[in-house]
Amino acid sequence: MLPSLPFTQEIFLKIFLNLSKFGEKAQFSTWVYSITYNFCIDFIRRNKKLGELFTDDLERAPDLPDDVHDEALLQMEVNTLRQVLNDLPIGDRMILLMKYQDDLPIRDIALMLEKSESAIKMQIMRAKAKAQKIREVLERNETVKRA
Amino acid sequence: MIMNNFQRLLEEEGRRMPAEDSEKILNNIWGALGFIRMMGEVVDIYVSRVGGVMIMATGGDMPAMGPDTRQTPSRHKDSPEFPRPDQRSIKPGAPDDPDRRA
Repeated sequence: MLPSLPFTQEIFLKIFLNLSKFGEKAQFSTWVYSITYNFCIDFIRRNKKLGELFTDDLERAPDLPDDVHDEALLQMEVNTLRQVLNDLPIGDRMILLMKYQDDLPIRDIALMLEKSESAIKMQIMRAKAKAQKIREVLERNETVKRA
Repeated sequence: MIMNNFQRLLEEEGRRMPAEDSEKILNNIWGALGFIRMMGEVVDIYVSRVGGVMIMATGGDMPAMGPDTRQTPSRHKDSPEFPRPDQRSIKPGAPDDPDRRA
């Protein structure tokens, strides 16, 4: 987990010092969110903890299911969800948090990540598939432990 | 409001964060803003005079500075004068006249 205490201060000051650059192309909250997102990604890049940011092409993950319904994610226990999110690549984790925790519309996520809406939809789909796969692995491990 | 499991996770993690942390963040932010403000004031006061100081340092005359036009609203020449309570002229026999009551 990233250190939230110094980050909050730095991000707040960054927002304050960049207020003049806010172009009103997007909502203020979206702008704040994108500064925060970029700050965190830069920090991770600087510290070389990035690994893979997003689950890349489906070719690289052929065993991912085609489509995972939202219910599969939303019905997970909070502890399981925490474990699943921790095991996801950071980009996938962020995109799922934007979608399901912050309830951001696809359009805003696309604006923040500077990608097209269809690319974001695809990334969410891949992130969900990856989360589902991690969950299955966790459940399998749990069953083996019990046995 | 009904929360989904993602939002419950966020709330749980928020509860784990000690209250002093948010107070510390707030204090640090105010400290940083105070510092920025102070730097802004320093720049405002001194940088405008750097040119004159440079001219003086090279042996020239200090350029004449215009009058300080920065005034608080109450000291502005167009602002009305309000009489202080002890300067008010009370007409004899008026309801405010202390002698009237006596």
